[in-house]
Amino acid sequence: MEKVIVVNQDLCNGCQLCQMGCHLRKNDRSGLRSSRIQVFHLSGSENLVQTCNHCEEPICKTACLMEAISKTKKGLTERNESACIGCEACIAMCPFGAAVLDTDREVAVSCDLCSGNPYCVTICPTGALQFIEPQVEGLSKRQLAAERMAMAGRNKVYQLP
Amino acid sequence: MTSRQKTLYVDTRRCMNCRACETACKLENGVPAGPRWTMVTEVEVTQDGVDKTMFLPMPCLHCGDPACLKACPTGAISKRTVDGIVLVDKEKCIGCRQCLWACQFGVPQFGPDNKMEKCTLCVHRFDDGLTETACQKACQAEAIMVGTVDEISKAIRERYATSSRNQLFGNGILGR
Amino acid sequence: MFGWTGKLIVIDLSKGECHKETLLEDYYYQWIGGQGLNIAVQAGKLPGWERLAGDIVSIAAGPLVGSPVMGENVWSLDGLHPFNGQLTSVYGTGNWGAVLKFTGWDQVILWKTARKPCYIILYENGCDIKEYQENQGTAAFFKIMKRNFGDEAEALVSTDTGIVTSSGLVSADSEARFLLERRNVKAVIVQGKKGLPLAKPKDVLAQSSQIVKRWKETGLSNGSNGCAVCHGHCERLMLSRESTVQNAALNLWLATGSCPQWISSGLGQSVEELCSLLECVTGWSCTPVELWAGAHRIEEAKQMINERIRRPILS
Repeated sequence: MEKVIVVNQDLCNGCQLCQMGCHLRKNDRSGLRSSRIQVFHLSGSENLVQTCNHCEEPICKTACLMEAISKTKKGLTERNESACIGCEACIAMCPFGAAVLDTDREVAVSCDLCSGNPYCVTICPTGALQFIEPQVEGLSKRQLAAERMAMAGRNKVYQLP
Repeated sequence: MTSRQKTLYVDTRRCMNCRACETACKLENGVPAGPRWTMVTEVEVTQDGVDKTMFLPMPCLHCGDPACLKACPTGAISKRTVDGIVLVDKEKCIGCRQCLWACQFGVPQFGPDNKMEKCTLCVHRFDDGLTETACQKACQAEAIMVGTVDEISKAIRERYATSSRNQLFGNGILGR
Repeated sequence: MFGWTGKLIVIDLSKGECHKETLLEDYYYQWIGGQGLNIAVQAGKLPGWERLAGDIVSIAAGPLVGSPVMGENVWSLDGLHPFNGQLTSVYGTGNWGAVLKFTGWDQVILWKTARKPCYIILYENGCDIKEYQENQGTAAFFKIMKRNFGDEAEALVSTDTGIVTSSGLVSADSEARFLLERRNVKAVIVQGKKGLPLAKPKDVLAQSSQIVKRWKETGLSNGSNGCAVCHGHCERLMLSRESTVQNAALNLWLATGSCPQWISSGLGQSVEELCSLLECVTGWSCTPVELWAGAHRIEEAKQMINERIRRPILS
C-alpha cells in the first residue's frame, strides 16, 4: 500500500502550522479556512487533526454527481477540479471533514499528498504527522503493545511454576 | 452470572516462536499474502538482570469497549452480544484506516482489497459447534487458550494444581 | 501590500461605533508593526491620530504573524495601567494574532469605555459590539462562537487567570485583565475567513521547513528547557513578567510578532533571519540596522509615554 499521512493525535499540540502551511502552499496565501488539513481545538489541550484518509471506497466519490472524484491505481483519491461545480455534496458527506471548499475558485478540494512529499509533515514540529505506510504503523504499534504486555505481571513475587 | 466474553489467553513462557498459529490461521481463514491476523511478536526484555527474548502471539484482543468500533465512521465494526467477538463487515467498510489509527495494538490488517480485516476468533468454528480456534489447535506447546474468563481461569488453576502436585509428590503413585 | 493588511480598526466603545483607518507603508517601515504600532498610536506619533494618544488599549499582531513559521504568532496588548498610569505591555501566543490578520486587520484600537460588559466581533469590514453575559462561562462562550462563526474563529477572553483562547491559556498575565476590563471588554472575536497574501510564498515555505528542521535536530522535547512550540501552551510564558527584560531587543521581537521566549532559548530566529523572513513575507528588503533603529524608536516612545503620564487615570 502507498504511504499515507498518519496522525498521532496525542502528540499534536494544536499549533496549526500544518494548516497554515498547507493553505500557503496550495492557495498562495496564508490562511486557515481552505486548508486541506484541519486542526480542531477540543476541550482542554486536546486537539484533533483531520485530513483525507484516501479511503478505498470513498463516500465523497459516491456523493459526487459530476464524477469528479476517482481512485488512482496507487490508491489515492483524486479530484478533477475542472469538473467540480462546487455543490459541496462531498463536503457534507465526508465523515472526517477532509474535503473543504476552496473559496477562491469555488471548487471542493482535498489532500493530494503534495504529489508524494506532503508539506504538512515536513513542517510538523512535534512529529504528530508522519508519512508512512499503514502496515509500518500497524507493525510498530503491535510491537509497542507487545512490549507493554510482555512485562505486565512480571517482576512480581509470585511466579507460577 | 459471569462474563460471556470470549477471550484469548497466551502463556508467553510456553510460546517458542514456531509460528504454527500464523500458518494455521491463514489456512483456516483464507488470508492472502500480506495481512497477518495473528502475529508472533518478539520482545526483548530484561528480567532479574537477565536479557531474554519473549514471544507473544498477538491476535485481536476483542476488547470489551473497542476503540476501533468507536472510530469507524460507517458502523462496519460490531461486537457480538453472545460472546463479545468484535467483527468487521467488509461490505460496509470503506477502507479509511481510522480503526488502525484508533487501535492501540495495531490489529487491523489491510489486504490487497484495502479493506479492514482482522482476527475473528474463528467465529465460524464456534458457530459450527467446535470448541477451539485454529491457532489453539495448531499450538503444540498449548500456549494459546480460548474461552470465557471462567474457562480460562479454571484451566490455569488446573495446570497450576497439577504442577504443584507433581512438585510435591513427584509423578509416583501418590501423585497419580 | 503583503504581510501587513494595511488596515486598522478604531472602536469607540462608548458609542458602539467603529471605523476603518488605513496606514501608509512608510509608517509600517518606521514602526514595524505589532507592539510598535501600539506604542506609536499610544504616544501620538502618527500624524492625524493624536486624539487617540494616551486613552486607548490596543491589540496588534506583527508582520510575520499569519505566516506558517514557528514562533511567529505573538500578539501584543498595550495600554496605560488603570492603577498607576504606566504603560503596560502584555503579549501572548496562540493563533489569535494570525486569525486577526486573516480577518483583515493589523490592529484593534479600543477607545473610551463601554457602559456594560461587552464583547467585540470583528468582521472583514466592520465590527459588532454585543453585551456579555457574565454567567455564561468560557467553555459555553467558545462553543457558541464556533457555531456562529465557524471553526476558524478565535477569541481572546479575559478571565481571572489570564487570557484564554479556544486552544487554551495563552497569556497568564493578569495585567491584561485590568487593561481590558477597565474598558468593560470581556472578549474580542476574530473570524479569519479571508486569508493573507504573502510576497514570496515559496521562500516562506522553504525557510519555515528549515527552521522546523533545525529545531527538531536540537532534540528539545515538550516542556523541557527551550522552546516547546507552544502556540498557547508555553510553560515559560506562564512565568512572571519580571523575567522578560524591557529593552530594544524585546521591542523588536514583539514588533515583528516573534515569541521572545522562543528567541531567548537560543534556537529562534536571529535578526538577520528576521530580515530575510520579512523580505519573504512582506517584500520589504530591510537591513538589521533599520530593524534596530525601529526597535530603539519604540523604546524612546515608550519612555516618552511613561514620562508624560504620571497620574493614575482610574476615575
